[in-house]
Amino acid sequence: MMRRLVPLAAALLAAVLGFWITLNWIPGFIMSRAMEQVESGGAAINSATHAPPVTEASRNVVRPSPDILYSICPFDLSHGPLLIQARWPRNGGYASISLYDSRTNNIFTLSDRDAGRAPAIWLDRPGTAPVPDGATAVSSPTQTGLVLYRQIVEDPSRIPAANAERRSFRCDAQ
Amino acid sequence: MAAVAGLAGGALLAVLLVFGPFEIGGTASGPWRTNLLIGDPAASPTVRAAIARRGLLALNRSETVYFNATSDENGQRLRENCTYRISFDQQPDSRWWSLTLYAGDDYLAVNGDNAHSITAENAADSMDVVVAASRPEAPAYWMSSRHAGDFALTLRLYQPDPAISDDPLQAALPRINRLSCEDQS
Repeated sequence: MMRRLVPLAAALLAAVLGFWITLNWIPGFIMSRAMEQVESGGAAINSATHAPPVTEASRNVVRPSPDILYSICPFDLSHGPLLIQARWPRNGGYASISLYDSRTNNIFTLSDRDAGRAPAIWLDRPGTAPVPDGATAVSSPTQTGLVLYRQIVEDPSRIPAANAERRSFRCDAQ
Repeated sequence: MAAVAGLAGGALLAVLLVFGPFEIGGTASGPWRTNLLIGDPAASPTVRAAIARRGLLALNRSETVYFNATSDENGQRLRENCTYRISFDQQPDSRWWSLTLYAGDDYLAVNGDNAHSITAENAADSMDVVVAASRPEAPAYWMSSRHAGDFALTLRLYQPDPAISDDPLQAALPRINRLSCEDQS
């Protein structure tokens, strides 16, 4: 009897372990695939890339909004912190900067409602360099991740203006 | 040998759970589902994996509440070959909102119709939106489901009223009613 039960128990235990390990691995895998796609599309690490307006041909990230302009900055803090800056839209439309760790968690978001006209975010690993005056400090639990700038385009006729405005979004390794 | 088979079986089950056609976690209001743990480090591994699969780079609920629907009011799967009426009694209570149609592969349908979404700017306070594979003959708010297969609708509420952030099921959500299907009499 025991000869049969031991392998069965081992298989069940291994199944639970395999399930758990895989579930914890999937978010990091999806994020790394997304970062690879973003980089293969021309985005450089620690640098902002302004993605073209979303069309039905867009395939980098699932469920993109055709009414939002996205700019993206894949980050790697292994060589130091990152200074993230922008200027919010002049027409009072919604814009935000959101930070994601390598496990897909939305670790921080700053919108035009929360900060003055020219926000600055100092992104670093926990417990490292001092923060410059005027910047909002954010600690990333992981060394790599993504920064995403969103700007709503209220009307297609505003795309050229919004496109110009969002180029104020930038990431600079320090 | 049994342990290796078990390990592989567990891994396969996890992949099927996340990448299969299942709704994982969240709460529902009629056909609309939302997950309060989007973007939240406190999300369970299962919920985090499911959100990474279908809502990568989504914002947390204090900034944006996302509602997704894959069925109508009667629980029937949303399909390209059916026509639907989405009825808004009022505009969602948020700073900005949009309703977007996604094809079965979770991207915008490739159909050249340029009718993927309705937003706060081009909507009326109370309105009906027609979802169909071809443009209605009479003037109407229209979203194209052409080449969308079994599709999904996503309603984004940016900076919603705090009562909605606290309890998304308090949001006044549009009703999704199926009007007809091409393959039914």
